[in-house]
Amino acid sequence: MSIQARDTNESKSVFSAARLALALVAALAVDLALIHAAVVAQAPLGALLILHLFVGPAVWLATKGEGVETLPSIALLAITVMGPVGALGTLALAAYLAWPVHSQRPNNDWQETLSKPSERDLPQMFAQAITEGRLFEPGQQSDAPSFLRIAAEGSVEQRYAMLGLVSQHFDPSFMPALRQALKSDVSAVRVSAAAVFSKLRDKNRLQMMEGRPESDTLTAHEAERIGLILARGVASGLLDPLDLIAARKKSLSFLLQARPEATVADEVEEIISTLLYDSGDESALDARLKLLDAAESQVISRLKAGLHMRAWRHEELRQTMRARTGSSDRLNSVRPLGGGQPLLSVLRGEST
Amino acid sequence: MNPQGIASFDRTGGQEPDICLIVEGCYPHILGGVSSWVDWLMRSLPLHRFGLISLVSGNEPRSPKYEFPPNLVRFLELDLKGPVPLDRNRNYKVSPRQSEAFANILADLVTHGGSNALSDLLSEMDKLPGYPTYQCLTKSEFAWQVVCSMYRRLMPESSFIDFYWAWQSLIGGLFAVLMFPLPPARIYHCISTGYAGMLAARAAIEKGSRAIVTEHGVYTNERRIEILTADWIADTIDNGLAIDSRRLDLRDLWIKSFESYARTCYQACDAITTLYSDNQKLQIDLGADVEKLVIIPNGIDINRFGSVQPEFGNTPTVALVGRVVPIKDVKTYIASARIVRDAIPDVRVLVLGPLDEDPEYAGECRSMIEDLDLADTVILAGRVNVMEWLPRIDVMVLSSLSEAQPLTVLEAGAAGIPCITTNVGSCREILHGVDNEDPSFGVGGIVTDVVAPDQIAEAVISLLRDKELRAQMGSNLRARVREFYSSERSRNAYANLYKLQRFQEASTWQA
Repeated sequence: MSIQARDTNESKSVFSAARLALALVAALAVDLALIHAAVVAQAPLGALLILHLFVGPAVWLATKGEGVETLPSIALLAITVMGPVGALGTLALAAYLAWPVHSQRPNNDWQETLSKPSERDLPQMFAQAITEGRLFEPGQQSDAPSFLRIAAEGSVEQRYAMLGLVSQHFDPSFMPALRQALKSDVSAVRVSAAAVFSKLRDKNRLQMMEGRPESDTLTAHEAERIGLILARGVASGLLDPLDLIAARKKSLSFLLQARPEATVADEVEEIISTLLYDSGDESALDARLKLLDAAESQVISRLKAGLHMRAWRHEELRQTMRARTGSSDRLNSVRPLGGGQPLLSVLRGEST
Repeated sequence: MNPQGIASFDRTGGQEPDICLIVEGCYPHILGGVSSWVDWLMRSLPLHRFGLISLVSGNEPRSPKYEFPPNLVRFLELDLKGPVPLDRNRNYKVSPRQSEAFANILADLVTHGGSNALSDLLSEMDKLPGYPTYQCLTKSEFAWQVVCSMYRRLMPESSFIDFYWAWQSLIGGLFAVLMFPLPPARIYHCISTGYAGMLAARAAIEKGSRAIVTEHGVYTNERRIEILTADWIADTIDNGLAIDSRRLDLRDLWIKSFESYARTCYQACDAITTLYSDNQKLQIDLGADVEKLVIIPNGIDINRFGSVQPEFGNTPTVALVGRVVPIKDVKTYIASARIVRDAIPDVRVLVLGPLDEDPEYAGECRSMIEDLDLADTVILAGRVNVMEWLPRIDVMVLSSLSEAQPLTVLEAGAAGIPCITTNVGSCREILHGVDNEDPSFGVGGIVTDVVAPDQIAEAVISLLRDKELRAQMGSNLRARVREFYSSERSRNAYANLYKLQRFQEASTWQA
């Protein structure tokens, strides 16, 4: 039913209820007058009774219709049998039903009476999942091959399963495997990968559309929200190169509007720095990072190192690490898993 | 009969039709695609008398989008949600032993399939006492016992509620098909596997009739993609990111069921036709017998498109013919246009197809054209009469993420225009020919990866710069399309298939 139709029905219902109330009051008055005539004026009882018998049907005729289907019939019976007491009782009943709490129980209350929402706590949920065998089985992961390897060498069934997981639990780090599947020599895998890619790309597109400003003037908070939505789209790996450049530019403009200067080295600042770095605007990045408090230099170094590492800029990475090595004994002692040269020496380009 | 559906009719005059077509979710309710093909098939073979069973789901209002051809003598709708219940039959029950046996046979059919499993189920249904109705099999004490038994056997770790509703959809649809009064016909021809395929398989088993399945896309693969990417199917078991899990969940059940239905259909049918050879690999993986496989591509009106005369001396022109929607990946095509424009500044890049199906996407394409400064190069022409544009096109591009057998490539080919396509559907086969092509016509275009603007651009540049190569490829493609992709050839192949007593007498379409 449309909203307009529902509104029309509601107003009809209010009108009918008012009409019923008026009719009942009138019936009450007529019956009281008849009683008064019988007691005080000693009018003939037979004639008064016949007159009384017309009151109930009159009320029924005046009030039957949409909105209040049952009450006119109750009124007819009650007034005919009980006279003014019946009219008064029907009036009370109508008032009771008209009160929203009684007449119309909200759906969620009603549903709650049918089945109460679950109030299980976390341990209880875990216990149930263990009992029913639905919980994650850690043993499965011990020899889990990488998605990239499955995309290249796995059986067709494994590749389907991998694509299902990519579709349901997408993470930008799955993109190389998805791209590999798009080039698969098995047409069914290629087609499935294209469907997954298409779904993810459309979803990303829809999410990025939420990053549209609703007005020309934005608060800092709103600008930051939009900038972060667009940044998430940029990081998805699902944009083609040209869309990527445009979206990065847009995201940066909103984030810089929200934070013209760096004030704190938090996650948002890390995103801004990454976008600046990926845009190739390193001078802006350096200027921004210098503004941050020296107490947070470790965060900044980590950020810079991460950015350099991501872009395979080994020389810059070494420089960043050297700048930190005044107190880097601990770092220098870090060796890769399985032994070998200390990590810092590798980063510095030193040989053993 | 559903009052919302299309009225059944029977104009057979007591004489059984030659062919009973069985279609699911297409003709006559939906325009285009497989529906158009069904209409074409019936009209192309006017001397054959057709019956048609259209599988539908639910009681949404439906109306025919096609005028029924005169040789369609019987039409029926089969609702996969079952017939309108005359009574509830909730008390229908059989002995626990018989319910358990019934559940085991049903579970076997759903997880493994095969015509023997279907045959076993049909006999077991015959053994049930008291002529059970559809309601008895799906919503009764007996049905409850079967559901519980199958749950314990198939996926005891998953959520029972979700299993119950999946069972109602999957098995309810199956019972609707198995209980539908089967009209007589000489041949049953289903246009997909799935439930349509199960009805054809049942006809082959119960009536001993010939059954044929034609798949345009491979139904099971389409369902698998749909299920893999569906957000509406709940994952009730936490398998993390594990690839090989022993615990079945709902997605597995859905996929396994459709695979089993396909296996059953392939076993029961005596001919399995499809549009191109890549599909046959999928069919073989699903258990189709190689001996039954045959390729019958769709055809086009060769004379119409072959009459196109190129207009010489025009500016170098590239075109993509198709709807401006994400699946066509028009953005990749636009991205490639910039690279082409940088190499060939006076190139004209056309997009010929409706812009109104996904206005948002079309808007993004327009913005992209502006952002890349391609306003003078790329033209979004909208819906056009392609015949008027073909003479001006030097190279046709198809950048789709998914296709079956794109008619636009065949039409361009018939007009002698070389094509550049992504490696989807039958594109490679159309441009390069099948492995054992006889006679061999040579290369008719260039195949690229999907979402690879640089590869498309490189291919376009190479063709636009080399007039001889372009002419050679155009000529090769024209010859191949004329030989193998005419609508006349396609019609004759089906007429021949219907004529045979047994499929083994058939030869391959290119022989």
